[in-house]
Amino acid sequence: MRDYVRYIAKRILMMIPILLIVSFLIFFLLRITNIDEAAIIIGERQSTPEVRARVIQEYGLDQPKLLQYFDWLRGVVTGNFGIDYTSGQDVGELISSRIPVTLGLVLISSVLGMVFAIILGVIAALHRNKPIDTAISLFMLFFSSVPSFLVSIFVLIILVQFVPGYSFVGSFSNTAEFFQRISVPAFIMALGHLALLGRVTRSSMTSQLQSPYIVTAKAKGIPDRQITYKHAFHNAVIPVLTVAGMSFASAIGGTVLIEQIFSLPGIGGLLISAVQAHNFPVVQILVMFMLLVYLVMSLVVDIMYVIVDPRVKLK
Amino acid sequence: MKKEKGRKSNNGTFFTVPVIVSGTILLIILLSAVFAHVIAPYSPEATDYNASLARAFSPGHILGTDRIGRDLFSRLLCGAQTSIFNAILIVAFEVVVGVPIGMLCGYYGGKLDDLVMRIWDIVCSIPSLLLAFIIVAAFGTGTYSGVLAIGIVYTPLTAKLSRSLMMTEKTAVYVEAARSLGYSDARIIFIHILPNIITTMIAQFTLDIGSAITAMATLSYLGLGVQAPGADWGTLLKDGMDMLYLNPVLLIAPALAVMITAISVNILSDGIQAYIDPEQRKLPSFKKYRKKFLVPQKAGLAKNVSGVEGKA
Repeated sequence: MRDYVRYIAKRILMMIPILLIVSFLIFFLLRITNIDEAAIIIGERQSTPEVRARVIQEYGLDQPKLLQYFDWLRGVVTGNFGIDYTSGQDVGELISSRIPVTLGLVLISSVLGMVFAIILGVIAALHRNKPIDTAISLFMLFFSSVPSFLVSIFVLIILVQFVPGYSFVGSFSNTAEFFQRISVPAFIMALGHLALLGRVTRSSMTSQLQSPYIVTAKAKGIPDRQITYKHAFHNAVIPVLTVAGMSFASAIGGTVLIEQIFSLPGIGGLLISAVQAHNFPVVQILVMFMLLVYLVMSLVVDIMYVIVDPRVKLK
Repeated sequence: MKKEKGRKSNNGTFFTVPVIVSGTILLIILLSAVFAHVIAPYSPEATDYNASLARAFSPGHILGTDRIGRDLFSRLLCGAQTSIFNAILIVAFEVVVGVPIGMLCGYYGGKLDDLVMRIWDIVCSIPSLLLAFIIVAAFGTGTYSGVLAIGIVYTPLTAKLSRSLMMTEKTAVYVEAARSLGYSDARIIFIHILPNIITTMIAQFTLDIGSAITAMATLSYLGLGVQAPGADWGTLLKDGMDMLYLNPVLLIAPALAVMITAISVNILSDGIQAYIDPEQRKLPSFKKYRKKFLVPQKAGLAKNVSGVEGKA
């Protein structure tokens, strides 16, 4: 147990340099074209030289970029996320109400997708080349080649046409409504994970079931159920975890899209409008936030790795 | 994993049923994109307020019209042109930038390789769609910044692939032979090794064209890619979304177009991969080989022996 705590602490410490480097990269990548930030802040208002000078002064735009970066970094560390260029609001306030939706979507879909992928993949591997395997494989092949973005559009069309009570506009006030609204998009995102991870589960489970140690176990008279779930499954799940990390990474960006399609009040809409408006403080914080979510999820995957595979040592 | 799909022995031929079907579909899409302005019954920008929001299969408009009476079928064709052209631009970008970087890193190795790969790792640690957003935020919305964004996202992956291919290729005997003849590194890399690497990567490029079409449609759908007067499948999806309750065909048609293209490209690239990869390519079994070619030859009916070489 102490090992785990130490390992997790170490991994969390290792996230810091990654976050620092990426934040640096994002900060300068956004400013690579030298967009006139003062003009964006002034926006529609009348731009007199005095207003402009005051804005530049207020936001510290006359300082060297590197100094601006460190100012911003200091702000983020102390909980001051900067000021929205277009609305003048505090960025922290702006995003805090939207975070639960995005987090809920990411977590629910990842857990659902992984659980179902493993169940279906194992079923397919156990019934290899039988109708049930063909059905599952075709299902997964279909969803892995169709982007979830299109799947959600089709699901939306079906919902709007055939489910009269389905509403996907407006905000939600209580937890029940939250889950009701989030369930369909989360399920579609889960399908994306399911298709990819299910195929990996199936192929790794198949190859495990064919390896010599299974024959040995059978020869020793160990019951089939135990062979499948204890011996083969244990080894088969390791490559699944590797791919799961990659699948979650691509899903982080996908949330933005799904939120837009189902008009969920998550951070997706905010990010898109910020990207369109060159609203850098918001883009920076949101990208960093999503990156953090991704890093935490890959940490969770790695911890599961250690639990499943005793050969991987905690380092 | 791919072997498990139960693909029957294809006798080493490229033209299996899935490849023929997906290839034909793609050829039709490609031809209709190239000749979009010839085939399209209307100009994609021609508005007809009398026929606004016409349903599918209404007279004069096969797929109906949008809110301001533009013919959906014509817009879909011209959208195909934009979408496919942008996808080709994206893949061209990744080939022109990614392949040389990867090859140089693979060939020379050492510090340059370490440095570039470290940078790539950092870039890759940002989820791809987010990286595209950052680039669009810096360069402004529009077709070319969209293309640039997706191109930059794809480049590290291409570079990594060409690097790993280069690592195995540079130890080959023919490279050693070329070097012993005193050829310059540039000549060895770009004239001798490049053709060998490119053929292996063709399957990947095909796949990338498919995913580039989807990625660009995604950006345009979000309003970050192709802008208003221009139309690709993504902007059509965006327009269709607003008319979801009034005329769902406006959304279904472009979604189907993207989907069919994406699936066909996947199948085609699987076929190319299966044909190129020597591990997956099934050569004709000896029994079949003898039956097909050797026995008639013995009887004096020399039949298409060169065909065997072509396939082998």
